[in-house]
Amino acid sequence: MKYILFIFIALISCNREMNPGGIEITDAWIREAPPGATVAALYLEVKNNGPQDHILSISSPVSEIAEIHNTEISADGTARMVRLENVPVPTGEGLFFLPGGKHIMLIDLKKELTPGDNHEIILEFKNSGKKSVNAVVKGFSSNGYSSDPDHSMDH
Amino acid sequence: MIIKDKVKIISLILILFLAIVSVMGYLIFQAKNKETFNGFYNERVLSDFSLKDSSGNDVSLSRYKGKIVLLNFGYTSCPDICPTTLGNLRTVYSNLDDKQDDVQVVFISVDPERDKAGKLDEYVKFFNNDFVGLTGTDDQLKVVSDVFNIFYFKEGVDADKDYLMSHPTSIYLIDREGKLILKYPHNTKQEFIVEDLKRLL
Repeated sequence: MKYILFIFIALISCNREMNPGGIEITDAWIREAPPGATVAALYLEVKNNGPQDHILSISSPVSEIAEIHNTEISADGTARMVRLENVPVPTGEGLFFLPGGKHIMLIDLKKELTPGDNHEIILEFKNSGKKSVNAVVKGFSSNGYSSDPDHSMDH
Repeated sequence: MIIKDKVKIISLILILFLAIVSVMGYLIFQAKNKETFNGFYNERVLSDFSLKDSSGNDVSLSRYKGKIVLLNFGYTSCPDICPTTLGNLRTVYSNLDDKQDDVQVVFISVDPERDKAGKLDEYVKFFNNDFVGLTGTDDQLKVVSDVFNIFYFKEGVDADKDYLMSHPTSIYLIDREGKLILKYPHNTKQEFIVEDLKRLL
C-alpha cells in the first residue's frame, strides 16, 4: 500500500514538474504564407489550470518579431488590428487564438513556411516562465473559421 | 345602354384587379428572391472606376461586364483576415467547376506603397491563377472607396515600413451588368457563397 502511494505521489510530482503552473498549449498552427509575404499568422490555444498568468512575450526561429494582435471588426465590416500586451490567461479558462480574432503575427519571416513542417514557438509567461510548443504549418486547403483547424479540413 | 355600361365597369374592375394581382405577385417574387440569397442583399448601381493591374495598365470595373465579380479588399502584409478570405474564395472558385469562366475574383490592395504590381500579382496568383490583384494611386483608390462607401487607413506608423492597414473585410458580389447585389461578412461559409453563385449563373 505504501509502495503504491509512493508511486502515486511520484507520478503527481513528475507531472507537476512537466507542467508547472498548469499552463497547457495546444493546437498550435501557422498559416502557410503566400510568396512575397513577410508576415504570417500563428494560432493556438492556451489552457491554464493554475493561478492567473500573463503572456509576456512570444518568440520563434521563424520570424524576427512575434506580436499578439486582435482583429477587431466594426459594424461596417472594417477590420482594425489592435496590438495586445501582457495578455491575461485566467484560471480554468481557455485563451483562443483563432482566424478573425486574436492571433500571433509573425513579422519578418526568416524561414519558408511549407505545409506539414513544424516550427518551435516559445511563449513566456509571467509566472510559469518559458513554454515551448511545436506549431505545424497548414496549407490553405485547411482553411476556415472552425475553432478546430484539424476538423475544418474534413468539410 | 345599361348593359354596355355594366360591361365597361366590370371590365374596368377586372383590369384593375389583374393589375393589382400582378404588382403584388411581382413584389412577392422580388422579396422572395432577395430572401433566398445567403449574402446580404444590397442592390446598388456602381459607378465605374479604374485601377492598375500587374503590368501597370488601367483596368476598369466595366472590363468584367458579363462576368460575376467577387471582390474584396486587403493588402499582402495582412496576416489574418486577407489570407483567410482569399483561401476561402479559392475553395469557392474551385467548387464552380465549369462555371469558373463566368466568375472573376478581384482582390484590391489598399496598400499601394508596399504592394507593387509584381508583388501583389504573385500573392494573388498563389491562391488561384485566375484571380486578379488590382491597386492604384491614392486618387484612384479614393474613387473606389467612395464607390463602395468603405474606409481604409494606415495603423500604427512607427517610422518604419511595418505598419498595418485597417481595411474592409466584406466580400462584394457584383452581377454581370456591373451592379452590386450581395455583400458577405468575411467569415461566411464557402458553401453559402457557392450556393448563391450557382443560383445566379
